[in-house]
Amino acid sequence: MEKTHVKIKFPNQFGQYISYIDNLEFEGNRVNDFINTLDEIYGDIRERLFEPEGRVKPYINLFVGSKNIESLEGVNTRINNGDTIALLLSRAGG
Amino acid sequence: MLKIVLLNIHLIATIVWVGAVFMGTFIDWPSAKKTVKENEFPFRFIVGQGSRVFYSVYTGIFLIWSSGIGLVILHPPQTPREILMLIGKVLALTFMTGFTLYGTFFTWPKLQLATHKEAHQLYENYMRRAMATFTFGLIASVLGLWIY
Repeated sequence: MEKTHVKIKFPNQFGQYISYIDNLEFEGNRVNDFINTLDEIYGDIRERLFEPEGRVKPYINLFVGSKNIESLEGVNTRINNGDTIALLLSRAGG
Repeated sequence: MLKIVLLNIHLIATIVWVGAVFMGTFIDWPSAKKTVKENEFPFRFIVGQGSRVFYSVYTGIFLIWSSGIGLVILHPPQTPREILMLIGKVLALTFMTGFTLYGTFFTWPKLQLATHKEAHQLYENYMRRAMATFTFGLIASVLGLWIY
């Protein structure tokens, strides 16, 4: 299976769950492959980001490059070598 | 006239802020807990509510501080009793603002990324701070009534 290398831009609050890595090489070329790899290495990643039925939680925004994956193909969005995966949280609470 | 306008803004902002804290702490959370299974956390409801409450709470905070400062300039405390009450009110508002900022910058980002188990612990701690915020809100409101 082809390998894809990506840069990671996640907020510090999430960085602690993935040892603050800023890049990752994983097998496959879809968001789902990326998440599976993080989940296998660090655990609980899918539960933190996704709803049980598989969609990204509504207050979490996951981007491939500058595009929110929800406006593309969701977890089936293709990731190209060198892409940046970013995560933004909704503004909430007080 | 300006004093009356500021007093009204101060009162409405207090109702919005303290009312939002009351609703979130004593009405929403106990009800939301009952809508999910024991080990689950009602993420959609709580974070949805948090997103909505964000704007009203920070609008309330801004209006309370700005109208309060305006009122103190227009009507500086005259007696030692008034000065003491103003100090008490400022302290109560400072604690409220501090708890709110802590929630926004530390608790809510963690909560959005938490597992169900972690979220329960985070939110229980957040609720304790919310109860303290509500109590300080009541203290600040009563002191405000006595000052004016």
